Amino acid sequence: MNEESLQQIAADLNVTPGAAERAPRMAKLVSDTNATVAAAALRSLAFDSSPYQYQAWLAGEDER
Amino acid sequence: MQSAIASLDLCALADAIAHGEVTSLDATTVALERLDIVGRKLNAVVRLDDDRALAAAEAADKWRASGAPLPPLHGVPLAHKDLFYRAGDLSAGGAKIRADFRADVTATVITRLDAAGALDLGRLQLAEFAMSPTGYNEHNGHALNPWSPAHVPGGSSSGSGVAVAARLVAGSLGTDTGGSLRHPGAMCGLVGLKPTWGLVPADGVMPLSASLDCAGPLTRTARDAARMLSVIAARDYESAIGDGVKGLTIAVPGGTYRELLHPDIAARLDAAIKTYRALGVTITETMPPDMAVINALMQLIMSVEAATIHRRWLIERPQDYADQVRARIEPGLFYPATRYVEALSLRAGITQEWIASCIGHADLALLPTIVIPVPTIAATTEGDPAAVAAVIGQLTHCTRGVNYLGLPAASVPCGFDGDGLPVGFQLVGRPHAEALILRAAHAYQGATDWHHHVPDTAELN
Repeated sequence: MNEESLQQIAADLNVTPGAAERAPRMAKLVSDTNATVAAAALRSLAFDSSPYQYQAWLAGEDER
Repeated sequence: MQSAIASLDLCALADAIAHGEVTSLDATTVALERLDIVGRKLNAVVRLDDDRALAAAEAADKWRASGAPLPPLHGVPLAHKDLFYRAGDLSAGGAKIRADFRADVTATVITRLDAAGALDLGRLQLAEFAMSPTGYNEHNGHALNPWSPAHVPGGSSSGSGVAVAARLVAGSLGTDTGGSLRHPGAMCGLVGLKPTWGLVPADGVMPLSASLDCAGPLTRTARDAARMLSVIAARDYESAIGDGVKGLTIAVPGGTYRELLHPDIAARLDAAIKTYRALGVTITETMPPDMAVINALMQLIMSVEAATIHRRWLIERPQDYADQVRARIEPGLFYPATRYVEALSLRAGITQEWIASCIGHADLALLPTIVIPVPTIAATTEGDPAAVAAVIGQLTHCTRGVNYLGLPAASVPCGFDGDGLPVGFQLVGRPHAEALILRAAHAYQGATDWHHHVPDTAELN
């Protein structure tokens, strides 16, 4: 992800101009993390998944 | 008398008060004096409420004299990380931005401790917005490790770790989003227990990352942790703590958990494993899944959730954040919403995969808490930024992933490194395995005496 894109996201979408100026130092972390999670999701995330599945699973474990 | 009272651990102090061997007023007076003198010297104290605490202690002694039944922490003085709200009181969260914030609610965990008879003496130092594994706080200065003031105490629950290790209070509540109870536990020589995510109510506690935050106790012993957890989780973790570990199986995951291990830490972990074998535990070796993925998932969730609640201040008051803290929050402004939902949606499956790989058929997993010896303050704040970042990254190498998994974990003291700083190992269990973790930690403490060592700065000798 290039630094200009990050600066635009910070300035235009999040309205945090100071963060836009500091975007270059975060570019590699954001790019690497985004790529790692995106790849993991492509590999493992089922269509019928939900962000609430985890809480339901934990509750089930508590009942056991 | 002061040394005798300060030397008592939480359960011993509660028992002594209940049996009339120590008054709550004496225990509270000693704790307030020690927090004021030793605690301020170690920069562990934010605020003490002397008048309120002494009045509550007198009331506790009268209640006991009446012969009425006593709750489990009756008259026991405690102090907590400065992010647990009490209605009407200041609660700065270690942050310049929140210096004047007064809570209008009381945290459920504080209400439960009140109902259990505990006295609330005040609030303790922490990392700014609970965002540092070292305890770093640019605005309030560093809390100092009681074992060596040149070294970090661990964070973000730094003041809690310092106060319990220096025998100022017998227990303290902290929070753990990436290791913030286990770091001061390991670095100050204490039991730091991160409960299963969601077990302990988080309302009235300053948030960092709602999907990862856990409140829990820092204490000298596993039994003390069980007593405090029983109160704040409203369940019983104490009655089976003495059941022993004979016949249990503990898995020791290799791979990434052993790769960065310093020889001093490896030696202490191996000795702990030997102790467990001698107690009748079967040890198995397992292999973790790709922790780079789990750590990335944790990083994404934490920074997105933190950036969401901090965005207004990042716009209005960016200069009031320490640069190190702002640098941890701001990446969260850049991830697509789909990545965040993916990270949450993958959580149950990846947690089950980690349990299968790391614990397998065993009862618990034993990991390092921190793979390197406790660093100095200088090593975590001065010089080459890349070197500083590397040290800080190593501190959370074995802890932050556990928060994504949401599993219960405790750091248990297991000796000292070459410089005389504490070392801890980490017991991790399946969801809601707190009782088993505490039982295993208690058995280990019954066979060792690391938790009885007292730092010189405690000024007890």
